[in-house]
Amino acid sequence: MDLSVTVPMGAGSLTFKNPVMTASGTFGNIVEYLDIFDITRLGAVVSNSFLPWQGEPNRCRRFAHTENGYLSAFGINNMTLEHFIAEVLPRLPAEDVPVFVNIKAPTRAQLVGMIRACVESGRIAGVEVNGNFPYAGRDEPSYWDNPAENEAMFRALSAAADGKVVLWSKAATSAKMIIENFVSGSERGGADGTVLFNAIPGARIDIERRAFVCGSTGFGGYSGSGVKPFALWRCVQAARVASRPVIGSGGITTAEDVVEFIMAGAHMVQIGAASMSRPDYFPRLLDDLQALLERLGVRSLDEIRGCARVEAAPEA
Amino acid sequence: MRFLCETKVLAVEEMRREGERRWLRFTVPGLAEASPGQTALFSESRHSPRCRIATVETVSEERTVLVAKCEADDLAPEPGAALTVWSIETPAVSVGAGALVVTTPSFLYRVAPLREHGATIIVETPGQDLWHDLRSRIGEDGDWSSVFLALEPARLEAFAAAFPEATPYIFANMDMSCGVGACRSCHVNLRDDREGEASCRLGPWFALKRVDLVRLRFASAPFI
Repeated sequence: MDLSVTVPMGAGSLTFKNPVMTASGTFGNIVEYLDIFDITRLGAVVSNSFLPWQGEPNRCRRFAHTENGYLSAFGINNMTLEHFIAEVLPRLPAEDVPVFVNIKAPTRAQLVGMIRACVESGRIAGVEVNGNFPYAGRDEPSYWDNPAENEAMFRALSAAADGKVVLWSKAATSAKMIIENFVSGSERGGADGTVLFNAIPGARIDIERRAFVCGSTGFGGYSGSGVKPFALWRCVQAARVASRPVIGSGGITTAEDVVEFIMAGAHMVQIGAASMSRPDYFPRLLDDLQALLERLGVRSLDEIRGCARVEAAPEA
Repeated sequence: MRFLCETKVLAVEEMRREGERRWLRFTVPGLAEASPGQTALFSESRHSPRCRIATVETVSEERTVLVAKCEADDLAPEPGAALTVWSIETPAVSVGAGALVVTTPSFLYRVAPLREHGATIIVETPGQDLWHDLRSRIGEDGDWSSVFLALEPARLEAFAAAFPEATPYIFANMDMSCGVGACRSCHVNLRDDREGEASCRLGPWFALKRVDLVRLRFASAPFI
């Protein structure tokens, strides 16, 4: 059985051994998992978000369990990209598993600089530009607010990537975002693909204390299996207009979920919340996926990508 | 982190309930490698959005008792449920013989097993002048290096104000989700390291002088 997936990288391409990736914000800076399981079994790994400056943990309760998932409000809590490249990247088996980084910045110039640093590292396979950027202040529009701006931004970013790293846009998860416009705009600007989901805004209230449970503003990002139906719908909408790969994410938990997203049109999948259910989650999932595809008689993922069809009774 | 065993829940007992939170005792066979007071991580075979932490309460050749906090919407494992258990700490500091552990009834379940290692446990009681008692035991210029405070963050701030020169260790173990230091939910805000440290990896004890106590207060769930 061939689980490999090939995606464009500028004018070239990059092949992954399977479609399963970690998701930014849920896998640390990758190095934390080196002694937990063999991360080279994964299709690719993704770091936490990097900003142009050093972060620190949020000053609030940062995590709360809730229905079918959890709320998180970790904030800008990571090291700088420069530090990651200098100190962490050399410890990662980047020859055996593609390493992606997730970046955010308030200005286009800063994003360009960060992508150039990734290219110069020679060991980073891909960059995802995180459209979920709530830290810039009210005067700074989110990347995706204006499709023309999004396209222009990706024109600059793809020039910096220069076909030497895979460049993906990562959608914010807002009810205001029209995913088809975001995917099309990113692709016209030169993005090699689009990651379709991020945590959605959520809240929980402790009725005993009459207080919000998580986050410095009372809100956090909601992740977990509860968002899967919406994420899967979004994947279908995006895949219909995309001319480059879409990367499914949002609530994926089981091998069956992985197959659903591929049948909805995804090339790769990113798994975050579920991976926190147990430290050995990923090797178990990969074993389950192999067994499931064998049971379904699937020989390659190309056979089933986007194959889901609508079944409805004909009109009388 | 170290894999400890695959096991099954023999019995579940509610130890305490407070609003939405319940503290449950799980009796499991095996786990002879575990040590009383140790923090363990456990996952159930069914899918749950996170793994959970437990304190090892007692260990015998045949049975081990774990205590875990469950939120209202946590489905607690039932008798017969399969559990996988890992040891999650590579603590920077360990509590051993001769240590003095100061705590409140709320925290007691986390530190009481340390008696097995020769620690003395002081539990604050209503009306007790804890600071006076500590002054009597340690003295104004005494050695605080074997004193461990498992108190609520606001009490730790009060301690720091009352004993500005004291250098004890404090219990700073917060809500966790991944158990390997990757998710950042349990990172403790430190004065000397802006990234903080994962309490699941290096905790639960941190030097008082390193921890930003005000931020700890806001980042902690009530009765950790």
